[in-house]
Amino acid sequence: MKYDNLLDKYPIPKALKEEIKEELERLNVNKTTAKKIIEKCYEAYLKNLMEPGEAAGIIAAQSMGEPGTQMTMRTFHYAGVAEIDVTLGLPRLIEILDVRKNPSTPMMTIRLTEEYAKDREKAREIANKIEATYILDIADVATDIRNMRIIINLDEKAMQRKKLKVEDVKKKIEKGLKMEVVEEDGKLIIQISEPSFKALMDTFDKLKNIVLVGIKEIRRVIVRKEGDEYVLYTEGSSLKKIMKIKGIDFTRTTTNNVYEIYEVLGIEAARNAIIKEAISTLEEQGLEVDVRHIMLVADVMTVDGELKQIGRHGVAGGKHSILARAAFEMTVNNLLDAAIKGDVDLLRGITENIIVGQPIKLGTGDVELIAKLGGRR
Amino acid sequence: MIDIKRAFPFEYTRFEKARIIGARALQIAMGAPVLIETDKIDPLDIAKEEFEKGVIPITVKRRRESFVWLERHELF
Repeated sequence: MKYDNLLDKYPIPKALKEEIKEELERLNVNKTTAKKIIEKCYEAYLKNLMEPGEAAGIIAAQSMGEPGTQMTMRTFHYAGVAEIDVTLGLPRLIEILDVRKNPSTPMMTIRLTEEYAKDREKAREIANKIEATYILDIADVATDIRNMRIIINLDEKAMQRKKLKVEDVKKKIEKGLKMEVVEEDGKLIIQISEPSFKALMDTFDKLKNIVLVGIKEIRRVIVRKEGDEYVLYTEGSSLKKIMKIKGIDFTRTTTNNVYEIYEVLGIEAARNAIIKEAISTLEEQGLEVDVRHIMLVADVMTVDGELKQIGRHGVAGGKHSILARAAFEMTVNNLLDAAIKGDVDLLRGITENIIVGQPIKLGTGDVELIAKLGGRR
Repeated sequence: MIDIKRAFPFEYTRFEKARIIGARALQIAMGAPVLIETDKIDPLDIAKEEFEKGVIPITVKRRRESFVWLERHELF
């Protein structure tokens, strides 16, 4: 309490203030000592600020690039959380920076509302509700070529586990195939009107792809106990659909698909997702990179309000300068195109100015000197 | 209390220091009168000593309240 008004005067970040306050409270020092400590902390803080003119981006690039060289190059699928395959290492990092719309291993962590989280049965119930169930999961399907029909032998046990009724399955299939389904002593029969083998096989393939219950994208759900609550891990991800389901606490539910987060939750959430995913990928490989470097990268990717990917050419659509582009790849093509179009290079960036031979606006080059009149002090 | 935006950085940054000493060394090398008593011969050393004593008649102009705001397109 008493340290609050002391700290208030200093323009230091909130988290740092909290930390200092905690330490002061632990030491329980008097006001003058506290003031001295805070003054020292403030001094140290100022010394750690970056100086104007420093090439923050380059430092960030190096800080992530060097550990990147030590990461495993090959994709190692790793039986991680709850036996779900997750891409890791360099391929995953590239995936994050590229903002792939379909990452190779989408995964969700779903947390439930209090009512469902404590009860294993109820958690299981939700898991069954969201997991995509196909006809092959609950029945044996046979084709009867002689009579041109498909016979579905429903497995009662599996049906019960999924809480499905024969009626529901019948309706789903009828809707999906736009064909009539007849029920005959526990079996479902689809009669193909056209006498062609191809039509039969086409219908069979279609039948296999009908989602009876659950969300198409969610291929597998695993229920795990974490602390005192049950958490669902899924293979495949669909944040939008999951959030609508009752019993799911969507404030604590996430996916590892950054683009999906951007679409559903917005740009700030996407920024946080990039930071979280990148840091955890690096950490998993035992590499320690300061968050601030990654934060800068995430910031650059999201400043415009839309997710921009970082590829070989830097931030997508970022380079306006002809010379900067020509310096990287396809020099002749770039210059020729620019010449045909009559493009103008305003020499605003770093690369262009280096090429032209001018001092750049960075570090020493950014300092403007003026004469100090009045002579000696 | 100091207004951090106006006051930071309080001293010359390392870039500013390098620039000032560099400019001064060039002046001395080209024959400008040295402002301190020294035995040194190398213009760079003389400039460093002058900087230490704070007699160099050069300072920096800090734009926009000492923060450099780059336009976004200037970043790439």
